[in-house]
Amino acid sequence: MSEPFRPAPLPLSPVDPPAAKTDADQEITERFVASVNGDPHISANDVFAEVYRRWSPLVFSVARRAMNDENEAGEVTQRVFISAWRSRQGFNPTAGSLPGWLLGITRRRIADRWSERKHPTSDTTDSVPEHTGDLGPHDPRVDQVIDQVVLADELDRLGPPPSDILRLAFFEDLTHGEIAERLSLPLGTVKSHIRRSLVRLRTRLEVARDEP
Amino acid sequence: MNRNSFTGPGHDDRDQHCDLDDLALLAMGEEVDLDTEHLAACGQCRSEAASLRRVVRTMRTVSPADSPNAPPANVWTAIQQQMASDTSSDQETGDAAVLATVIPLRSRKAPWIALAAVVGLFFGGIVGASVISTETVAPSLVAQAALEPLPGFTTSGTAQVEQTDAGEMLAVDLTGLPPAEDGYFEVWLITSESDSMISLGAVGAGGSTRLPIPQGLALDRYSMVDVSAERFDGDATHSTISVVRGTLDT
Repeated sequence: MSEPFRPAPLPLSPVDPPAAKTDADQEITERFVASVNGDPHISANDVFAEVYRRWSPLVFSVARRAMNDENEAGEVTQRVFISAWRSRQGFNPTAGSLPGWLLGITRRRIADRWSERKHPTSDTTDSVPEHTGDLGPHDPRVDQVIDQVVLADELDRLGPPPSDILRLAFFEDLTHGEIAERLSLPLGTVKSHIRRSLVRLRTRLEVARDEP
Repeated sequence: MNRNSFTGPGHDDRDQHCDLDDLALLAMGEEVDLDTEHLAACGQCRSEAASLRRVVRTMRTVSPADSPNAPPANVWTAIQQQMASDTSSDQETGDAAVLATVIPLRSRKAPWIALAAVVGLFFGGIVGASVISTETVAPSLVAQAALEPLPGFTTSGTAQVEQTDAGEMLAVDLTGLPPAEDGYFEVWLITSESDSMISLGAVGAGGSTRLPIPQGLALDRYSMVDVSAERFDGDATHSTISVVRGTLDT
């Protein structure tokens, strides 16, 4: 008889505690590599569902900004993860990061879609003219979109108070003194949160660009 | 190890590195009282400030609207479908095949959803009325779903939740089931967030079955009816090969 009840390896929204974020990403990467290497204790499908849960919002959001269309962004996301699944043996963790690898695939699938728009095989005439010119996987516009989405993602994942502090600093242009007053925090605390958060954002950008 | 400035040999009090918090504020564009002479001379402090400034510059182009959102649930369903069919056909394929077999997400099911909403309103009204006016006599329809084939299948059918004396039952009727080779078809209820599922049982010969729904199960959460192709392999989990799916109009 089947088990009556069990959780499925399907996407959930992320709920990790903020402090554990980087470690959690590392842990997913390690499990992914182990599953690719045939670890019998790890279900490759389950790990891939985790990879999807963690990084599909990044891929989808980058694609949505690049394609300017929700449906096409969904199709690009689908292609990215199917490509990743099929070429998972080719991921080399010593050559780059897992998000860097996924975002590298994202660049190529976006470039594919853009060139399909330029040379449409069927009737896809809506909202094309925005992206013209020679667009390869290393189009600087995609680089910029990736950086922005990666930073916005990390900003969400910082958790309070650092996320609140950075939002006030960047979205409301407050100085650290004004932020300290607004949040009733000591000046030194605000200052060190700003530094540590900027360092973390910098690390995130480096990881995201770390394409194998 | 809370470093507040660079440490290392060769620095005495007169040649103190800049405070890292101050360098961060400097990168933010705030006015900071720091040793500008040292900063001008020290490559380490300058490069720290410059790299943080690059982060700040990019951050300034980020808006709250850039926060990533999860893709729609049907994207993952399509990926799983492809993963399952890759596994079953057991062949490695390249990117060209990815492009060829990608499942179009555009406008699928949209007309049905609108219809389901209308039907739901209609039956919702009837059921509401019948619950008030009758003491349990004949089974009454609580909710229903049209079951639509997933890519690779041509099966379709209906699922109906009936209120009976024995509790709620799910009646599934399918047409066009492929032959079950060394296996069977299993009925599942899955949450709309796809984060949990429950197996109700097997589909009988001829594609019909009527299965009890556990008392207390929140049907408004477990609203997706899924029929999977299973093998007699002793694995009680979902094979990830779904044949049909539909959402109950609860």
